[in-house]
Amino acid sequence: MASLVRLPIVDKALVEANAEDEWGEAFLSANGAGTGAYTVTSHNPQEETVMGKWDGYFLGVPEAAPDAVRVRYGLEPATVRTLIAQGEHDIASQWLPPEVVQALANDGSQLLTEGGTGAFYFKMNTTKPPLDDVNCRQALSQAFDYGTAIQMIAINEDVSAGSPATGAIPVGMYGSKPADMTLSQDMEAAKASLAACAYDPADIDIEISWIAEVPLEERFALLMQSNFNELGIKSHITKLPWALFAEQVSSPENTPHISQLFVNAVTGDPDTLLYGMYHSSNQGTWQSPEYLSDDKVDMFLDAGRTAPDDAGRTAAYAALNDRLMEIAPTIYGFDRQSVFAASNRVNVPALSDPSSAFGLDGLGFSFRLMEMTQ
Amino acid sequence: MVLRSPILNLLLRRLGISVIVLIGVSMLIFVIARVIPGDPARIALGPNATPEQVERLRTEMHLDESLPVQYGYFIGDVLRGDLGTSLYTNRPVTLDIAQFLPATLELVFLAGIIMVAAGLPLGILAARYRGAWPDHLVRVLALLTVSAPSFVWAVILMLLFAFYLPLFPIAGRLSDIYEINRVTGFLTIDTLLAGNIAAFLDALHHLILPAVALSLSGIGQAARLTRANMVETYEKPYIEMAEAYGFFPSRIARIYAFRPSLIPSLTIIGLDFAAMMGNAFLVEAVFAWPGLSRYGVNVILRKDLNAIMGTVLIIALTFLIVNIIIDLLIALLNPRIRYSTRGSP
Amino acid sequence: MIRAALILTRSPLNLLGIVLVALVVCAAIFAPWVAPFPDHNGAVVDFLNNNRPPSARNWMGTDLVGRDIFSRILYAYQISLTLGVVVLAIATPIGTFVGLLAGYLGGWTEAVLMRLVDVFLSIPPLVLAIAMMGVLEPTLTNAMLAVTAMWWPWYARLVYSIARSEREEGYVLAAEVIGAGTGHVAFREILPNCLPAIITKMTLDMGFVIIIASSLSFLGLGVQPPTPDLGSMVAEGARYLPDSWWLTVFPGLAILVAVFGFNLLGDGLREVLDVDR
Repeated sequence: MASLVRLPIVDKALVEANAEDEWGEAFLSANGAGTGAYTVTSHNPQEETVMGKWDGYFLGVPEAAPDAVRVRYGLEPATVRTLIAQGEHDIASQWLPPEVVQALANDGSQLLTEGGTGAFYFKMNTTKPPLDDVNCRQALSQAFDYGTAIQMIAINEDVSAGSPATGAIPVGMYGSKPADMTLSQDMEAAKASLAACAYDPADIDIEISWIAEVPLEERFALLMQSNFNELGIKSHITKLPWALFAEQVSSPENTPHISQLFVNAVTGDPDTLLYGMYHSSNQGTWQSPEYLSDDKVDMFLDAGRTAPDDAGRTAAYAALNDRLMEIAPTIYGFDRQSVFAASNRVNVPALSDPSSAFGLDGLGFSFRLMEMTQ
Repeated sequence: MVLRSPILNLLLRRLGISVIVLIGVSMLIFVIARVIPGDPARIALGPNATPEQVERLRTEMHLDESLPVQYGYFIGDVLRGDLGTSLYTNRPVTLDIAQFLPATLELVFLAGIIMVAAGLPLGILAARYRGAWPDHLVRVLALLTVSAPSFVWAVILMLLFAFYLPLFPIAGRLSDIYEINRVTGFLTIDTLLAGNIAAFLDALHHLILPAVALSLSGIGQAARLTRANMVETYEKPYIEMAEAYGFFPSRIARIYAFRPSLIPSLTIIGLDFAAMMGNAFLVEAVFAWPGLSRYGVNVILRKDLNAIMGTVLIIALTFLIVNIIIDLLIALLNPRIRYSTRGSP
Repeated sequence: MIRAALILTRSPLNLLGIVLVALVVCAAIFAPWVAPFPDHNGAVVDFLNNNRPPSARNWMGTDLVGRDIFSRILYAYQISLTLGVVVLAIATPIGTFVGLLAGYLGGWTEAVLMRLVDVFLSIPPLVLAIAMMGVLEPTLTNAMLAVTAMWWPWYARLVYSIARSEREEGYVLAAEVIGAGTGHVAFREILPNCLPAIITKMTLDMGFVIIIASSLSFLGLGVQPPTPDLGSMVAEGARYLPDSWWLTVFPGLAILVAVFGFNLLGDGLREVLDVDR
């Protein structure tokens, strides 16, 4: 099950003994009760969490793994950049803007990557006029400048935070299209689609949101705004902190026209990527601000989940991919690859050596599997 | 009653006014918080809550009652020291404030000290050489420092003294190598309590750049005000007398002109304290300072109602307390104004 | 009036203030004609020229989506000055009215109004504006509203202190003796004596409002992109220090230049109009 991969395993007796609320949330956000490879030694929600090795971990903790880990919060990219360059920090999260990663690489930091399991999506709220009209959605999808988006995420000649998208399913997964069938901007087609749209373009004002924690998204918002301008459609940009976005998507009226999201197939299987986004039973979660309700999509998703063999699954997802291109609930931005900048004191085989990589999203970034070389 | 000490009278009077003002502040904050678009219960529970859960929380939060009744509950909670739970940290707001306020106060206090230590001498200098080039220079400097928001100074100082000349750390309050048991939350005090001088110097090292950025506009104001007050005093007959007796100008400046000018300068420090509590929002953002102001920005961006109300209330309270202390200081320094209240700026 | 202008221009510093203010005002008014890239005030992207250091083509470099920073600063002045003028145009009359009423009438009116003013003044101004913007949508109009709400009490306090001392002056008593009404005394007799102080404060405050408004947008609570705003340009650029310094340094200096101009001018006015703070 997709959702089980991230289920935090905690010590039930400990939590129940201390919990004041139903799920012990208050206790858990201030105290450690887990069973992982590290235990929390101190926690300040604005500053850092410090963790130490826990030798009782059931898989064992390798000797080379760091003895203590400090996870810092709320640092500006400029700060992270300097702290890594000065050798005070060892590895950054994947959310640094490309310019900063580039500057770090120029200063001699290593770049680590984890890719092939997810994509960057511009999700359209299919319940909100004018995006409840498929032609309007098609117009926006065709007007989007996919080529420039790829340029924006390039870090250097060898490393990029993504590769061109070919459809709803990232290249390499069941049902995906070949890597050379990349999507591209087509203004003529966009104008034709817009002409077929039931709404008057002069009345349209699209709300493009971006997640405040990911500065790069502001640039995608500007790119879309300029693309839509060219098409003759007005738009405005809103910045949403993640917590507020998660609140707003719970109702279709409050969900912005366009939300930018990086979604991963948790296990590398398209089911874990697409079911949560597009099945009508999953509307209005953080990964499904489309509020899509389409019988055929549901049918293909269920078929893909229950098909007995690879051929059956491939066929179901290929059909799903075509259907998703046809009804365009999403602008499929690019296939995403996570890039981590790191100092040369740390070795992370799971992120640098393909044979040690995991098919599980985010697992490569495990402190237990990192090796300190100095 | 023999309790007719003027100082005590003043204290009681100020406390009385402060209580009235605090009630007003709490109403103002309450009104602002209730203007928020959206359902606070829904925001608090997040996207996965069922309508029943939302309804239950609405009842718990008394959201279905009338506004005055809601205000009554709010005040009751506040008086019991219960500010609710923060959505941002998932902890009681009081715990958050207790953890983050000392970092901000430490910063603001040091900035205040820098402001006085630099502003008063500059003001004295300008007054002594009034009309000559030191006076003009101080005027330009003072006008220049108040002409940029503190985040611009913070960025410029950081660029010059942390990036280009790596003299100071760029973020945080203490280097990783020190483990200090937090007693007061003021790291400069905690490190001394632990007897760790190296850690104390390290904490101070981290404090300097943000504190200077925060104090710059205050330095200008303090210098201008000291100058203005001293120039006024210089025109008094007793100074002319002293000059006629041939006293050294430095002695006249120090003893006869500066001392009487100190009192009005103290009032401005009280006001600048308010400005600094506000500007701390900007400086903490630049230096990743884990204080109350950064917490305030984070909870505001997340529309975290309890935390917003708690933060603003605590800042107003801190400000009032500091001003009462300053009023008392002034009264103690100068018997003549024990009976009157402070003038406006 | 002419004499005052002559005195004002005698000091080189005052002159500098006038020049800077004139430059900033002209930059704002003539931005569409002066800016090398007039369309860069909006949602234009040019990823072939993004993140470039200052050059002959782009005097202050380009931002992360390739827009000319110099052009955007000119347009940002438009927003800052509009905001300043609107805020002062609303806050000054409200504050003056409240201050006059409290100062002249005294008694209960004074007690109630001035306690209300105290309430506003006991929350640090920026904190109050931040809290208000926190619950409102971040738009230009709301930013004006929030800044106005924190501004009027300062005028109330200023006018109040003048009006209270003028209340006992001979000319006021004389007007009262001949039967002038409350409104007449307050607005015709006392108000004119408050004007020099009000005008000086407004000039100085123009700079202050620019600072507060840019502080709000620095925190992401002000005008939203793609509208150019000095505060958000500094905030955005600060993420890319020290490599792309031009993103931050030029907008920061732009704030400094504008506010410095208004401060020099206001300070000069204070001397000429002989206003004591």
